[in-house]
Amino acid sequence: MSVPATPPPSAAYRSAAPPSPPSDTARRFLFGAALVIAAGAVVAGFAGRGEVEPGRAAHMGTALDTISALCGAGVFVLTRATWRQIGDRAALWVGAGALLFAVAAGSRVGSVVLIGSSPSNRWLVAGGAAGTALTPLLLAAGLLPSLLRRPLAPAAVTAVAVTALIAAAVLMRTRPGLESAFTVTQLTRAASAPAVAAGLAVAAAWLALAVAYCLRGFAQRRLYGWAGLMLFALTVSGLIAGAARGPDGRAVGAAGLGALGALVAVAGSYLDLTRAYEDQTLELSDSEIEADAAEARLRVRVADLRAQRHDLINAITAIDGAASTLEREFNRLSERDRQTLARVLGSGTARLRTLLSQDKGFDGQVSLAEAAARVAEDPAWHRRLDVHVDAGLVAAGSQGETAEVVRQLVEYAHRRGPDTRVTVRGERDGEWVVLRVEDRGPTLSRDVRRRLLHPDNGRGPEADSDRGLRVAARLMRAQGGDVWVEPRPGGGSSFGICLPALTEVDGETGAAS
Amino acid sequence: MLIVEDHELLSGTLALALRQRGLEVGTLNGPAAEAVIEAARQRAPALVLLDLDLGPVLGDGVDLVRPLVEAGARVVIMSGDGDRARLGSCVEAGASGVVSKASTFDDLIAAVERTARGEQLLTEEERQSLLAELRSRRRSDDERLGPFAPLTPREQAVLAGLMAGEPAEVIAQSAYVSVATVRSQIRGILRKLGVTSQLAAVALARDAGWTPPS
Repeated sequence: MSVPATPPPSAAYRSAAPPSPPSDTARRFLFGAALVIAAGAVVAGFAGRGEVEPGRAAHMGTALDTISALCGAGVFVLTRATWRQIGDRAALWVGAGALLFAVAAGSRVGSVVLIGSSPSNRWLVAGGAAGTALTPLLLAAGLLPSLLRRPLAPAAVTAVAVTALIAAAVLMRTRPGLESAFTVTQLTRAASAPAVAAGLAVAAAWLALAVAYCLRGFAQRRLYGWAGLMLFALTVSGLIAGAARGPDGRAVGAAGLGALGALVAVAGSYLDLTRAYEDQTLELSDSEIEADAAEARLRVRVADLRAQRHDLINAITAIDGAASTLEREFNRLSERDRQTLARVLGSGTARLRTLLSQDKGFDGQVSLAEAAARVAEDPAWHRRLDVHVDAGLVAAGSQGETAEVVRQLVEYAHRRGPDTRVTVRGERDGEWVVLRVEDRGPTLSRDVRRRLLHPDNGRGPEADSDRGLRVAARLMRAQGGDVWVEPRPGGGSSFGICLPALTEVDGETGAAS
Repeated sequence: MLIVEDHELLSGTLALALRQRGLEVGTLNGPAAEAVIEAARQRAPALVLLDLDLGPVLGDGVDLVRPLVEAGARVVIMSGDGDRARLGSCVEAGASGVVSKASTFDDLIAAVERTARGEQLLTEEERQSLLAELRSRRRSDDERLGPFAPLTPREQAVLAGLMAGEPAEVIAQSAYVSVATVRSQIRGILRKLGVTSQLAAVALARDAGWTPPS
């Protein structure tokens, strides 16, 4: 099948701006959350200036840490659900980081509840410090491609996180002061120059990680954005906490910023989960449309084969009958009957030749008049269609599939204007043949026209009727043709299909109706 | 006798051959099913040779059997289709015989002549066999679609919506009911179909070839 040199008549429709993308909630959320975190950081930074009574500050810090712990646990659960939904392994590592963050916050709460220097309290402090130190490391793991390629099960990732936490807690319990080497608090707390340098390095690493997450998140509109913001909040929170002297305003500000980061994380992970679910739904819908298109092709093929078999049997039986009647009854037949039977033999043989040479598959011939007539013959549309298609409009493609597309378009047109007539019109447009199905229903808006059949809008949830149109679009585009929709002069819409023309038409008319 | 066949080539040849054997034969191929039945009533043929696949204009020959029998004709089915359950439907509707187009022309003519003489084309055993095929097809259809029978019309509409990929909110909106109502209907569907998820219900419906009643 040769492809026409000229663009199809649908080119104008294709070149129009593609349908507007669905509202980008994820990006809006990330921008909003970034502003909230930045504002929270400023407020927390200035919180130390206000005097807070130590007992009250301790209570506020505990309440905020409780929120952080709950949010961290929530993020852990939501990221695992996201992994289940779309198999994103980064979600597992980010979830593990959130789990350790929850452990750190929970340990702080626990250490306040178990005031004193009992061994269990010291273990809690060590566990909290280990959690705080390891959270960014596990979040960083979510950006490592080598780790993401490894098919670790969720349980294995959690086991890695818990094992690392226990090992780090043991180390920090046995070597007090070690935790400061992994946290940013030393930058604002330490007095010595090496400690400040170490704190600076850790803070720089955390912030770089936060920026990496944010950039990736903004680019991919999922998961990583809120993880970066959470990390940013934790870094600044750590810096502020380092400057705190016991349970004071700064400590409350630091806990508040941590809680804010955790809240952003839990909201972001929820958003990611719903987005993953929507993506899955869209992919399912896309697969269903493809399956519907394949089913339509198969249905058409089966119907063609069945009709072909029926035609073959009829032709063979007619030839058999004519031959045997001529052979046995030759002398008793009148001249007219002999001629009739001779014509049956000739016509039957010609019919057989046609059937044998006919390829009703992809590279066959399409008579637009026949495609329109097939639909018009359907009792459902009988006397409700005006068909004006020149008999000479022949294109390359599948007769059955094109008729199926015309049927879908006519069905859609009737749904839009049940009490109005539908016109099917054929025409030649350069190297293309065009068939238009025009309805007199309400005119479709520009946005709806683009959404319905634009090639860049192959995915997305749709009503049942839209789905039929999308199946029709796939059938046409698979044949090298196209389908589009434009307003009909005088009201209504005109759905056009085009296919590469096969022969030159010399103004032959002969409307089929 | 009357030949109802959409292929004029074949009906013409059959008519000519049968006329040579002394039978009075007419042919019909349209313009519509109602016209064929009306013509059969007017001409009152003793025998109708009926094709099963009559094309898009006349439709399915099975639907013509009962009206033609009621018009007083003996109906012989002429089929190139080996679907025995479909032939069973014809026998159930009153067809007195079946001849295959795939057999030789001589066999076809001989079968028609035998029927014209009043002989039975189908033995009682063959009749029962075709009817058994039909019953078996109906049973399998019932088994396949049986689980969907208890669904109320509203539940059927909801299931159709789910099959079209519509969320509960959209189904509720289009039916002017609350989302809670649709969710309760979905629970009813799951309970009646014995499945635990919407996905399973949709898969079950698709596998069974269930379609919502129009």
